[in-house]
Amino acid sequence: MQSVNWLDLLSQVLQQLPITLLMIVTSLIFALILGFILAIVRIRKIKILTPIVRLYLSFIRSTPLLLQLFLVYFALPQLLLLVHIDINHFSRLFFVILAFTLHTGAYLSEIIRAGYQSVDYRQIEAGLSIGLSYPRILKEIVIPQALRNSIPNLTTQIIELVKDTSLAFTIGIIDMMGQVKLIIGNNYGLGMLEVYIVISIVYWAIALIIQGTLALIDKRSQKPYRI
Amino acid sequence: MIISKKRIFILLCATCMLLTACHNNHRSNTNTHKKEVKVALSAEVNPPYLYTNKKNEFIGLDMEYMKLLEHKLPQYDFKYEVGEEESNLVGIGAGKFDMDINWFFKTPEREKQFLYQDVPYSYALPMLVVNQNNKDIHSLDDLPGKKLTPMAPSGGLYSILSEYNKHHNDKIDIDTIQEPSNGDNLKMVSQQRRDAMLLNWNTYQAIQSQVKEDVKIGGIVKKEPLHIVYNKKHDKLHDDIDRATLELKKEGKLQALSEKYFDINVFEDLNDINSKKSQLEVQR
Repeated sequence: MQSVNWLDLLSQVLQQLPITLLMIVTSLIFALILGFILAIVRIRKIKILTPIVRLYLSFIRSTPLLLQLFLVYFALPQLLLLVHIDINHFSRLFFVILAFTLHTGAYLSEIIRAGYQSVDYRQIEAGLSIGLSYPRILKEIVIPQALRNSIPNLTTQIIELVKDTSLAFTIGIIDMMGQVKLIIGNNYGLGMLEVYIVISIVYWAIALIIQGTLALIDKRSQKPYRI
Repeated sequence: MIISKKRIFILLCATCMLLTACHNNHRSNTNTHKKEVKVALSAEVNPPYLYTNKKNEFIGLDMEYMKLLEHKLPQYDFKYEVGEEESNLVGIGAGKFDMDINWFFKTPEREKQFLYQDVPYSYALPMLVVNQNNKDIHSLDDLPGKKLTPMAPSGGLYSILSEYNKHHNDKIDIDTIQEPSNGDNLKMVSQQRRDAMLLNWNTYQAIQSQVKEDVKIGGIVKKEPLHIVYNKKHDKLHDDIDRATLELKKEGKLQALSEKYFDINVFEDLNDINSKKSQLEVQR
């Protein structure tokens, strides 16, 4: 067997890091927005919308992400064709980001809702009793605490998203995992182990960076409250 | 909060524009006279038919054949897109792609769903790898009662065996896993933990020349024609490519491609190829 050129492998995999990061960052931004909207619907118990959101959350949580990706990539364009909207020629990145946004947004909405509910309702009542407006209460009292409380869950979900992006290759986006599969395929399936080790380390490193950053933010935000 | 909201909004707009820009470019590039044909390429690369170079560009026999077709059929504008094999097939059914090239074997299930190329552009040579000391396995008929190495539960090799089982009383025992490792499988045969392995000759040659296990060619099982797969509506495209392929064959260009990639002419008769079995063997 030939000796393995680890650095070469690593640089080949890292070539596709930008596209993986692009998917992570854009999906995360959109997912946060979607998550906020869904969470508000459920917190304020808006009529008609609440049951729809619950159904949506239940669907997203109970079906595999791969299936959701296929639904967005293959079924959605077909559905839209019925109303004469043709999105088949859209970039594949669009479909992948849409799928990840829909998926992660659902989970984030639950994290945001849990964060909101972690703040005792009596604090809101106290705010109201001294004459603060509800938006002000949200801004000054609820959101700072809610965000702080949801950082650990948020960390988990972001790392989950990082790993989810490895599914993008199923519809042909050559991300890091795609590059790995191409390397293995070009080499007739030889040297699988080495390539898998390299890619695990890369994903692990990304996760550690995210975890470290959010842990730092968490620590900072806890500072004023430490005894 | 307000500032960050603004920022998010700007970022959102930027991304939207980026995405739409991508697809606008795509549109404006297409020549109005040419008919655009979306060709799906398999992400499960399979050298030397289809694989990628350092720049992640797809190369190999399939791509060279496509280049020949592009030359013959200037009325079409072929656009290539990558995807995993299974999702490519779904995409063809859904009309996302017009055709798919990745040395597809004919299977009855697929034939019901898709349109197959009638004139094959090349052949694969599925073969049995056996231990160096083995003398009794030469063809599929020798396989019932023997232990095979695990293989992927879809694709051409699997369908060769399942088709055999459908038409014979003595069934072959098929062992499936999702992503088999060819290197490990060869090792199993060389250590006599399994009796035989079914794989394509070009794959065998590439791996064996690196690992050099104690194995040999038991026999070429058949000449499996390779086809392009089309969406059912594309009769015209199908006929045009068939005609072009026939011409290429007459001109000897496809045979030349075969010689270039395999050192043999796969258009020859199976018995002729099998009689040259020792030539096909990897020198150790």
